[in-house]
Amino acid sequence: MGIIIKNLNFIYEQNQIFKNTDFHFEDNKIYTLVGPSGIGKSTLLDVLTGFKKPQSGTISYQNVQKSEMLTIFQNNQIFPWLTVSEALALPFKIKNISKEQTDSRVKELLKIFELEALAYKRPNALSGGQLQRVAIAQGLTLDPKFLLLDEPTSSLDQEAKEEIQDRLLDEQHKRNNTMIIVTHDIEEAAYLGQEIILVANQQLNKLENPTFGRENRRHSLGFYEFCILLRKQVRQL
Amino acid sequence: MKKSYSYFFYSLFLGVLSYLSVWILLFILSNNHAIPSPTVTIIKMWEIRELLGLHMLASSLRIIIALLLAIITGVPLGILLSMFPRSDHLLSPLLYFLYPLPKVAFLPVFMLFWGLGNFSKILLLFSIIVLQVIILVRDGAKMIPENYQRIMVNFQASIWQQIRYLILPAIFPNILASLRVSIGIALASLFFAENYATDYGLGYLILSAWTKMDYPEMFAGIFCIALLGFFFFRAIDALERFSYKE
Repeated sequence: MGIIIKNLNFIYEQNQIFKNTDFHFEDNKIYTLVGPSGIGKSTLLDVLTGFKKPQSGTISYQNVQKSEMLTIFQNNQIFPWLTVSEALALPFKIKNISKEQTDSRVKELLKIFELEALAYKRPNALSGGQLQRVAIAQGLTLDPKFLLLDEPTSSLDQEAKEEIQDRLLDEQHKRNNTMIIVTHDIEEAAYLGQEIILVANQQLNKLENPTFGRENRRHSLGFYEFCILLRKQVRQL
Repeated sequence: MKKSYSYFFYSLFLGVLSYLSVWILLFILSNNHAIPSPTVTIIKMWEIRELLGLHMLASSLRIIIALLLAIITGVPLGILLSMFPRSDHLLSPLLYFLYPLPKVAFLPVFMLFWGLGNFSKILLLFSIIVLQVIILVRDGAKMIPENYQRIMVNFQASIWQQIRYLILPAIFPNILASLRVSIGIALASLFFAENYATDYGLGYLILSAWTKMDYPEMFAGIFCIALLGFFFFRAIDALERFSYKE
């Protein structure tokens, strides 16, 4: 079950990004993708969602429709002319869901994501952390089975970063969906990723995260040690 | 609401005051009967107030209809050009050829083909403003960040939903900008559009006063065009505020 990549070959502007790459994204897991800039992390998200077509190889979606996959982009996720509640209602409107149902679901989301006070504010009146919270709430409106996030906390300060990370873990735990998160931040990769994927040499190399799921691990010694190990591995790429 | 009303009257007062100041200055400096004194003109305006109202109404209607027609045809065409690069490649050269042409030069053609009535007048105004609506809308739609389009695809939005929920709101400021530019040009073009086969319209009033050398009446017409412009611009400002209200 999940998404199975076989023999993926992707060339962009004469650069081979992936070469005969295989990978299996299983259901109900959080994957973090790390690796140097320009190595193909965001490209992989585009290939998975079908925005970019690989030159060869197969991607089989098992028990998941493409319509059940959703990407949350690094920035520009919320249209500047929409208020927070309008932004949350947008996916429902597109799916032609009744106004009553939309209103009650939006109300629920505003409450879950603690956005009630911001319901009538537009993006220009929100902080980076609030914006990202709205983006994640919007991404989760239709309950996607696969949620792909492209550097969801890159522009945030440490406090907002940690808040968003905990919220993502919470939501994944509640919804049991799969998250694939692209990040440059090693600590974030180690904190969020149940499995960490090192993107290097045109391949996806899986690394199990032994610290995942431990209580209060953010400030534990084991977590720091794992981050050091991960950083070393990324440097060697 | 109260605040916006008082701001409206404040800006109207400021506009009229500055307009009058420049006028008075010109009147004093020129010392020529072609620029009448504002007092004489205002008295004249009061005397022909009912007639002025009718002239303003006729001109406003022509401009509003021409603007609506330009929006109805220009917005979809602009969107189409932005969505299909091939159509843009094909049609843009024609647009660029037509855009700088002085459409008023075609006035005799308009009269020949569409008669002397209101239709040819409105069509002339329409032909003057529609091209900039198309170009501004096309450029606005092209500037929409790629991410926004990907978000709509993410949500599996149909092409109509993309137009309704993304393109139209995104280009709304461009539509307003095109309206602002168009209003100025349309008002200036009234002078040509209303100089034949009509008894009503500010263009006609100005021309007939000019022929009679009745300069106070001519300036009354010019002042009314300025006043109309003010009201149109304020209406667009109100539309903008209404659409972006918190």
